[in-house]
Amino acid sequence: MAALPSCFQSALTSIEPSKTDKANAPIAHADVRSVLQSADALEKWSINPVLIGSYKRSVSIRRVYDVDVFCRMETADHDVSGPDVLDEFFTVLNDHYGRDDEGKRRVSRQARSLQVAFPDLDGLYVDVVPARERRDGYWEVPERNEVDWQATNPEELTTLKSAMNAEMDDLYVPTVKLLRQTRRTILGSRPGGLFVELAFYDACRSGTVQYDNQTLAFVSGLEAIADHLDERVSWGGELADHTMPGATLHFRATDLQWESARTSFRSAAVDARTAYEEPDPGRAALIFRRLLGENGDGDEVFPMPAGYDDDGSKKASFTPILPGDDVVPAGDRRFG
Amino acid sequence: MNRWDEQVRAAHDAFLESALARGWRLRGDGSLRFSVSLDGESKPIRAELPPDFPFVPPRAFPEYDLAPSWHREADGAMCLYSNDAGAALPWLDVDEFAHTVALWVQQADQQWVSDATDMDLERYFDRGDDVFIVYDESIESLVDRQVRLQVDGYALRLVGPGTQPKGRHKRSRAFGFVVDIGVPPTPPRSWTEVRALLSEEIGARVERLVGDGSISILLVRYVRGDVEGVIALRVTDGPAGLDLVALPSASVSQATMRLRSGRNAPLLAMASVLVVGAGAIGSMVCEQLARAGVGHLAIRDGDVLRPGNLIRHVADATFVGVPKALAVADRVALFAADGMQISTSTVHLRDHREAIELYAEFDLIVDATASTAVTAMLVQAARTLSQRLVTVCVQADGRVVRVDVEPPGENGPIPPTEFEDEAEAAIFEAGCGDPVSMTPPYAAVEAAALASRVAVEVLVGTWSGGSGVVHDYR
Repeated sequence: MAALPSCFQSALTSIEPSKTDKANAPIAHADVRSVLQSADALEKWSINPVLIGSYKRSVSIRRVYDVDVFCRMETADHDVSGPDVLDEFFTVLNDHYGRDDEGKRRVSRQARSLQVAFPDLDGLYVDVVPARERRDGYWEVPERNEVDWQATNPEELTTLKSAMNAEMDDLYVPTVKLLRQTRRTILGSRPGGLFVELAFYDACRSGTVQYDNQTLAFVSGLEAIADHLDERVSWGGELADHTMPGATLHFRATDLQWESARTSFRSAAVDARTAYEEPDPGRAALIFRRLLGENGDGDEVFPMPAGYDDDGSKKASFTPILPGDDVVPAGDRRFG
Repeated sequence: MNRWDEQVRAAHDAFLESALARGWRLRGDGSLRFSVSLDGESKPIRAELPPDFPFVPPRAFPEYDLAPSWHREADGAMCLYSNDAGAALPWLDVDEFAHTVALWVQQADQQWVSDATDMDLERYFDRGDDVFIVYDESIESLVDRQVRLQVDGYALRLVGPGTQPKGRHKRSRAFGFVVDIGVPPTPPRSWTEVRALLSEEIGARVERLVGDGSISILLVRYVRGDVEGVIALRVTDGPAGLDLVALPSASVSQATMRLRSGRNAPLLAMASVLVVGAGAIGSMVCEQLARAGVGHLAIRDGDVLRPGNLIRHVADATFVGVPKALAVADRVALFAADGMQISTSTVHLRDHREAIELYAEFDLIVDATASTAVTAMLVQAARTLSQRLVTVCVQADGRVVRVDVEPPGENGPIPPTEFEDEAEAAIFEAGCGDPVSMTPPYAAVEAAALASRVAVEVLVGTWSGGSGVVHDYR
C-alpha cells in the first residue's frame, strides 16, 4: 500500500490559494459590496451581499480567478423581473467601475449575473448574483431564460460543508480540493468544479466514501464520482440538492462533455486505486503526480516521496533510517 | 530537499505508511487514531508525530476516560520512554510503539503498582524557571511552618523558620510555607488537589497567607516508594483559587550531594590516602579522590604554584605563589563530604625513614611526583613492607599514560616504557630547574582519572588489573 501522506500534504499546500489570492478576494468583495450598498438606485431593495462559492467554502484551489457575491435583495417584490434587476445592477456597477486602462469595460452583464473585473488584483473577477427571497425561506436567482427565477440556498452549502468536514475528521475539505484539481487536470471543460464538489458531497452523505486517511478519501472520492457519472450517462441519474431537500441539481454541460467526464473520471479512479494498492512508493507517486497535474502557477502538484527520483526509482545513494538501526554506538545505560 | 531533510522525512513517512497498513486512521489534523486492547475492551488512542520525530518518540494520548495518573505529561500525553532508550530508536517500529502504549494502558489501569519510582511531581504543573530553590535536611523539621528563603548566588536557599516583617521587603529574601502531602495516590496538578491531601486547617492557613501576601513559595514534601521528595511551587492568588507554578529545586543535603560520588563512596569514607606530588596529575588525583568520597586525604608537595602550572592544574590564578599542597587542599575542600579530613604537608618527601610511618598511617599512597628519588623510595618500601602503592605518570609528551601498582601482579611489574626515538629537545622555563613537560592538559586528566580509578579499586579490594595499566598512543 502507498498512502504517501506527506506527499499529499505537500500537494495540498501546492494547490492552496496563494497569499495574494487570499488577500485580494476580500478586498474585491468589500469593494463591490460597498458600491452596491451605497447605490441610491438599489436602496429600494435593501441590498445585503454575502460571499458564497468555493472561496467562501474554503474549497478553492490555486489560482482563485473569481469570487462569488450573493446579493440578497431583502425587500425586492415578487413581480420584479430578472432582466430589470440585472440592468439596474449593471448600471450601478458600470457607472462606478467604468473602463480599465486599456479602455475595456470592467463590468459585463451575464445571463444571470454581473461580472466585475479587477485588473489590479491579479486579474480577479467578482461575480455578482442578485437574489430575492422566496416565501419558503430559500432564495431565487434570475434564470437564463430571462423570465423565471431559480430557487437556490448557497449559504446552506457552507453549513453542510463545515458539518461534513467535522464528521470526516477534517478530511472533507482537502479532498474536495484534490478532486477539483484532478478535474482541472483530466477534463478540458465542463462539468466544473462545483459538480465535482457536490457529487463528492452526495457520496459522503450516502456513506460510500472511505476516509481512514487522506489518500483513501481521495481514491474513494474519485470512484464515487465515477460511479455517479456512470449513472448519469447511462440512465440520467441526478444529484440531490442537499441544501433544498426534494430538489435536484442541474449543471451546464453537453451530453458529449458528460460522456467525456465519465471516461476520464473512471480512468482516474482506476489509476488512483492502483496507485493506492501499489507497494512501491515511487511507482505510486508517478500515478498520483499524473492525476494531480500542475497548479495554477504551472508547478507540479504532487512531489516524489523522500528517497525517490522524478522517474520513480529509488535514489541510489539514499540510506533510510530503519527500525533497529544502531544509532547510539554505546547502546543504553549511558550517562554524560 | 537536502539529503538530511530527505532522510528524516523518509523515516517520518515510513512510520505513517506502516501505521496505515495496520489499519490506523490518519486524520486531517495529522493525528493518528488506533486502539489497544485492555481486558478485551478496545481503548482508543491518539498519536502525534512531533517535529523532532524520528529522534523523539511519537506522543500518545488516551482518548478514553482515564483519571489523572502518574507518568502523564501536563497536557495528558503518556510518558512512554525514558531518556535512555537504547542503541536503536525503538518507537520507529510501529508494532513496538503500539505494544509500549498497550503496556502503559495496562499499568495505568493497575494504578502503576509495579512502577519504577520517578520523582517527577514537577511535570504535572506549569513550569517556571525564574529562580532555583535549594533546601537541606532541615526541611523535615519545618513542616506546617512559615519559612524564610535567602538569595544565595543564583539560587534561593531555605534557611529556616521565619515570617515576613511588615514594611519594606528586602529583595534578597522570600517567604514560604512547608507542607507534607505524604504518599499521594495520584499526582496532584492544582491547588485543589494539593489541598485535598492536607488538613483543613493547614489548607486554610496557606490560602490566608497567600491572600495577605505573607508567602510566595510553597514547599511540598511527598513520598514515592521509599524515596522522599520535595517540590517547590510559586503560589499566587488566581481568579479560581491559588495558582501554582513548579520551580526548579533540589536538595543540598549531604546525602544528595554525595549521591553521584559512586557506589564505593561509603567504603571510601573510611579510607585514608596520601597523595605525594600535587602538580598537574597529583592535583587532579586529589580532586577526584575527594569527589569519590575518600574520608581522609593527605596532600604532600614541597613546591609552590607557578603561573605556568595553571593550564594543567586544579587551582586557579588566585593561588599563584602558594604552596601547591595548600592550593589543592583549598580546591578539594569544595567537594569535601561532611566529616572528610584534609591534611597537608609542604615538605618534600626525601627522608627514607618516613616511608615506614607513612605506610603505617595510610591505607594507600599515590605517587604523582614523577621524581626518580621519591618513586624509587616508595616502590622499594612498598615491596619490602608489603604495602600498597599506586604510582602514575605520563611519558612521551603525554602519549603514554601509565599507572603502576605495588605490589605487582603475579606476572611481575610492567616493563619500563621503551623509546625508539631520541628525546625531543628539552624546553625550560626561567625559574624552573627541570625541563617543562609538553604533556597536553587532557593527557594529565587521563592519567589522573586512571590513577584515581585504580586507587579506588585497590582501596575497596576489587582491583584485578595486575601490575597496572598503560595507555600507549604512539
